[in-house]
Amino acid sequence: MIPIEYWLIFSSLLFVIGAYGVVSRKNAIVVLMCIEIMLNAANINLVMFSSYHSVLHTVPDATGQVFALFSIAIAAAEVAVGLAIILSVYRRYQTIDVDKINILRW
Amino acid sequence: MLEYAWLIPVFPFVAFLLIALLPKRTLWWESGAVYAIAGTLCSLVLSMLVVWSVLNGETLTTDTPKFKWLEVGDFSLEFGVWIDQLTALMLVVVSIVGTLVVVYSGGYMREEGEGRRRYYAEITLFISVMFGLVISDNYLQMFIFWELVGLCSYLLIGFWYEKPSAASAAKRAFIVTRVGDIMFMAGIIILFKYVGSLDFETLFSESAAVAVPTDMMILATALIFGGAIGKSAQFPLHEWLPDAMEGPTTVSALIHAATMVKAGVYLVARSYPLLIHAPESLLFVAVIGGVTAILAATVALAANDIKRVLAYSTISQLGYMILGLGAGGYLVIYANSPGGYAAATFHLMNHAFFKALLFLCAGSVIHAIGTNDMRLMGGLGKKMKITSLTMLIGALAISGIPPFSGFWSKDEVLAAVWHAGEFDSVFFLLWLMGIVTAFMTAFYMFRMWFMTFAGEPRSEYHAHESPRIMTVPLMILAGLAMTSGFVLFIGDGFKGFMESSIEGLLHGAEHESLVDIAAEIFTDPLTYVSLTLAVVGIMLARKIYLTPGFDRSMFSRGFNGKLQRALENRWYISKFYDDFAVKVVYGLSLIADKFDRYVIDGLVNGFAFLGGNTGNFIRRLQDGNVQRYASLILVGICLLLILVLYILPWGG
Amino acid sequence: MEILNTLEPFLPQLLLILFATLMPGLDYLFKDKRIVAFASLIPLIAIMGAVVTWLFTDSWTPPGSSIALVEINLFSGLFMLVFLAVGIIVVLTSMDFVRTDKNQGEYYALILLAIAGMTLVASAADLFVIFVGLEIAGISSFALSGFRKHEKRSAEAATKYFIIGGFSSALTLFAISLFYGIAGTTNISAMGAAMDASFTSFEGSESFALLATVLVLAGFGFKVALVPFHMWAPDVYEGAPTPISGLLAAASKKMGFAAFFKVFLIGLIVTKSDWDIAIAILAIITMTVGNLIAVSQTNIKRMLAYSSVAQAGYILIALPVGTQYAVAGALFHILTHAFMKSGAFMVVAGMASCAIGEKLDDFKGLGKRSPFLAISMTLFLFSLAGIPPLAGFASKFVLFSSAVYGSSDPGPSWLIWLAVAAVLNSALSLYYYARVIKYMYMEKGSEAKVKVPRSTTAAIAISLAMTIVLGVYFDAVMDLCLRAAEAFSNLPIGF
Repeated sequence: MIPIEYWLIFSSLLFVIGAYGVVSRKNAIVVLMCIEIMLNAANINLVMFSSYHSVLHTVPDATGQVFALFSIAIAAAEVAVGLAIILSVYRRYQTIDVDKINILRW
Repeated sequence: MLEYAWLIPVFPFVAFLLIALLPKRTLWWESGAVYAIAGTLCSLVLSMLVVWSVLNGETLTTDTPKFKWLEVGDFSLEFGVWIDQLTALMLVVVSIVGTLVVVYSGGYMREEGEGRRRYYAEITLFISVMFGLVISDNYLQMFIFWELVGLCSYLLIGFWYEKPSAASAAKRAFIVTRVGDIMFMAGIIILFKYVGSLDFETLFSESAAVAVPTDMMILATALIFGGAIGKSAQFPLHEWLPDAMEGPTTVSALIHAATMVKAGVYLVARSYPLLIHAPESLLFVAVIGGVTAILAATVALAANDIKRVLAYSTISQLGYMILGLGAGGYLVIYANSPGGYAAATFHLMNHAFFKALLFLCAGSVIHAIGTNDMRLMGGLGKKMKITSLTMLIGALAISGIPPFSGFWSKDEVLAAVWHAGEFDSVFFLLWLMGIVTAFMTAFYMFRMWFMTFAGEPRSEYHAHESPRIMTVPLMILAGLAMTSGFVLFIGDGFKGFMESSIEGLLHGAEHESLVDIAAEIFTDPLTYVSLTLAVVGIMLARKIYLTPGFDRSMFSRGFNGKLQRALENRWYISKFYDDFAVKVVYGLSLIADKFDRYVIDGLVNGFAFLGGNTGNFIRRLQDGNVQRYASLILVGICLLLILVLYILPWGG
Repeated sequence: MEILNTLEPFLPQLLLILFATLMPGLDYLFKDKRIVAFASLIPLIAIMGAVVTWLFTDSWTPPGSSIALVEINLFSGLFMLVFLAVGIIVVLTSMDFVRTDKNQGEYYALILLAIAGMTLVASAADLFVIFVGLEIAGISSFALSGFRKHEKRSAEAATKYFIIGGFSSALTLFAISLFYGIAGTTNISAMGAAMDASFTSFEGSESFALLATVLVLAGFGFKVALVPFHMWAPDVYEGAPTPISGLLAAASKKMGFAAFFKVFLIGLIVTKSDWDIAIAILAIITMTVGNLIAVSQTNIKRMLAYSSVAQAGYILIALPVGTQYAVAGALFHILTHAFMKSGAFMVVAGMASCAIGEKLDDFKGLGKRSPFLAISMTLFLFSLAGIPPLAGFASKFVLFSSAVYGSSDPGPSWLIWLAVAAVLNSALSLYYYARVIKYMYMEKGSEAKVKVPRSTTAAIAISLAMTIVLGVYFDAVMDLCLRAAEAFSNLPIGF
């Protein structure tokens, strides 16, 4: 079995990459994708811990896997709403550059 | 019945809300007078029902119904209802005078236009909080309402706030009474410290009295009396009351003669169970009362403003009540007799009726000719028959001529003071002051009446009798002024009635029969001394002010005119305060001002500048870029991580 | 039958979702859109009635769920009450506010879904349910804030809300995954017990626990708009349709607190000494920054947004104090804040439906133009500032005094500084609240009368009545809150 540290490092890297993308990429769709990467990092954790606990306590523990499934479904809903919102903002602003969408401030 | 007593303040409060909040067109007649009258009438009816229950022996002094508003740990703020004979007495006074004054206002305030709405709103609010004060079952609740009546009084004195004198009088009244309020508050804080409760039920029990050390009890009761000094305009804080005459006359009648100024007397009477543990405080109370009575009466001798004469007379009569309560406490302690207590509260009720009557008559006169100055009046009796007649009744009552109400109560007060002289000879001196005051009262009252109604007009005016809506309340009050003295002999007798409210303090005192009381009054030579003095006073006033061509300048020449000037300047007390304020306080305030301007303001401005600018600076961070927000979240997370992982474990 | 028993705790959510799916159909069938609005009121009022009956008569025992995902107790009941009441107020105001908009069926459906999500969080006993509830409410409110898609500001608000919201939910999920890894369970009370086993799950799990704590703090902090996770709030409140701003400030924020209390005071209570100072600092920063910026705002909706940032700071006091009394105070403040803040937003919405703007200048002379709106706004603002005898005073009093009591009895003495900061901040806040009142009464503005629609009047009247009633019936409400706080039986009483 792959040691747990490897998994943790992997998911953390994924999470940080996603977070970096959210604050640095200009394109709203890319930002959306970065959020998905962050969510998936968490999903990897969930699945990984699920199998880790099953081994540790020698009882099958499905909580993490079910949770991951749910979170994928939720992420899908979020993407659907998010894309619709990006579409409507594109109609008003003629751009999906997030740093150009800033009439609400101060 | 008594469990509904909490509704009494609610009715006028609802009226207040309606008048204050309803759209203008639904206010109907006289900008809301209808709601005011309806509200006070409902309270009047309910008050009378409550009083009837009390007359039948019901009281509400144990397990009083409470509405708990706030509870933190072991401290709770509750609103409760406490009904005993003293409460009933105050309910009678406030509800009757309140209703009559509101009705009378329907005529008196006619010219005020837009301001009437404010007037009715404020006066119903006042009546509501005054009821609240009277039915309080703990000192804290009483204090809250105490402040609220002060606030209403402030608003109503300053009713004509465009007038600088009215505005400053309002401020003055508020500030001066605040001095008393602070003492009151200090007093109840001391009580709370030792007893841990402010409920009357707990405080008035024997165990509570034991819990407070004697010197602290003296201090606490003296401080509570300090509240009464402010509210009831006792020496040396009495100067606000004459100034308060800047308000409408109806306000003077209701607040500054019949109800609010009685709150101080009520407070002293209410605190009897505490006061009898501190005879020193009682002596203090009596001396202040006696000094106030005679001092105010002398000033009234020389006043020319009809309302000011009445104001000083009010102060003087309040002094009488306070004196009676002080002496009454001695009688309770040493003679086991409720005589003084009953006499003072009896005088409180009678005075409320005849002084409200006198003020409303004065209002009627002012309404008719438009001036307060008695030197410009004269001969009004022919034009204003009802007013002059009712005012004559009031003047006879206050002068103590039988069978009018003032005779009975004033005589009882003086008898009580004389009686108390057996236990402390200071009371003989106080009795002498009281009897001189009685003489002066008769004199200045008839001076006022003769100057106003008798003789020939001293200026051009077109007087007319006031409308029915004003004269009917006058006649009702005149009826009360004539008859209220006889409650001394109705049923159990007034004395017996009041006696039961301090029953716990009397250890099996004998109940005097009505015949005894009457016999005592008419066989006591002192009765005839005071009666003779009152008649002499009236005669003297008639001689001086009604004889054509009588040379009155002899008074102004007496003592090289110093006395006259001293009286006209109100014994320079007001001037002393002003000078004191001007020289000392102003000097202090200059220093404080400098401090304030350069140090405090500097700090405040600095903070405001800092605050405003920090606000603005942080605000600029919010530049509308959503990625900036996300980065800030990340920065926040990093800082928090550093904090919880490194800084906090290192520190702790 | 088995399945029905399992579903019983989810009945409120099921009812709300059922009606939410009906809404578009009703919208298609009826021309008069008010019918749709009234239909959406049905489940809200029905559940509200049931919850109120339960809270005040004890006529029903909550079912024990066979799958330990949710636990219905007084604590969740009180939160449900808040969400449903705010829902009713928002729907009533919307009736007029969106009367000219298209797709009203979807609008009301989304409101119902958002409230379904919130009630789910209120009764959650599992991190899993909390996350799902947060997401249901979150996704619905992203869409709601962008409902006026022809408006630039509305679309922008939705974009920002969505990006920050998605980011925060990723933070929350990552934190939850770590908690799951450390504790081996997602059940909150089981997690509380497992945290006690001094982190034996895997190497370095103590540090991971702290990382997860901070991440979940950020994730929930986004919902309740804690500084520095608050930046979205003013923009979104300003851009979103005003009733929705009210929903976000009064209900969505409270959902965040429900999650906060459950996770921190049950799940993470063992490690309290690790996070209490951090949260205390965050609370003080939040209230101070919120109030400072509110002072310089000229848009009422933005001002109210910053004021709710500050209020979140006050409520957060309860976490570091961590006594039942503090939780009761927080519950009380959540209850009162829901009414006074939604009331204030509804006044702004009422003015918007009369084509008056939402700038401070637009409030000039409102006292003459609409005495009802002006007096309501005055009372809401006074209550927010904490002036007796209004509700805001009562709840702030309990909340702040809990810090004072807590500093002497169970907790460390520095807790007193929370009370000091809160009181100073309350004083500061009076400044900008009073400014609005001054504009309404002292400044001369347009003379034209304002005619407030009836449904909006009803919504404001409900909030107003509650703002006064909650203050006057202090004792009864406090009693209920204290009983609700007994759900945290692991905490000391605190007075």
